[in-house]
Amino acid sequence: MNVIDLRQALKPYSKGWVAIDKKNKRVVAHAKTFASISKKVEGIKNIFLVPASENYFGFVTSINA
Amino acid sequence: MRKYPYYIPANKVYKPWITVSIGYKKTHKITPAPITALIDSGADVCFCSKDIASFLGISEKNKQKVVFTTANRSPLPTFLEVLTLYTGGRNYDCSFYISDKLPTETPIILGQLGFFDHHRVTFDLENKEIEITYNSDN
Repeated sequence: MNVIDLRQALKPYSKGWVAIDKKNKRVVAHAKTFASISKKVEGIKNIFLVPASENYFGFVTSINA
Repeated sequence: MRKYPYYIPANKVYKPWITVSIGYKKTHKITPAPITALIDSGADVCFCSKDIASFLGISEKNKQKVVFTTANRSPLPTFLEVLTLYTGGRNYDCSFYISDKLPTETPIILGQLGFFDHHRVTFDLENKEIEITYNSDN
């Protein structure tokens, strides 16, 4: 199965939220907070939201109460 | 059964992400677009960032507080709320533990209670795909 390659799309962003077009994987909006990206993408179809980060590697969870 | 691709957000990083929407019945609000969520078999429950919860109109007041412990033994303070999880063409009520201390790249974590107890999940990194079957499909 083809992966969803976001390397180019996410490269310029290290924080905030990015809205990405589902088809061409291009960034259609960026904002600092979830509230502001939500405002920016109102009415835009066929996108998804991704949090921008400086580093996506090295994440590990084991979350126990 | 549905198949989902892995995501590559950076070089040599393969993430078992799926996109989900989250709603809150009390305010009738829903996230404006699907959001990438981490499928995490190591998490006991589901988590959601406070940023998203605030957008949905969720208040921390009078909510059950639970402190989790992360892999590096640091505390993760949360509060509990039942949200509607939209995934795989379905939606259901799901308990989410809400925190402002989640890693920025993982604002939604889908763990054992809330996600794995509703789905059978097979990770297949070799073929870069995740198979997810909703339990009632079995």
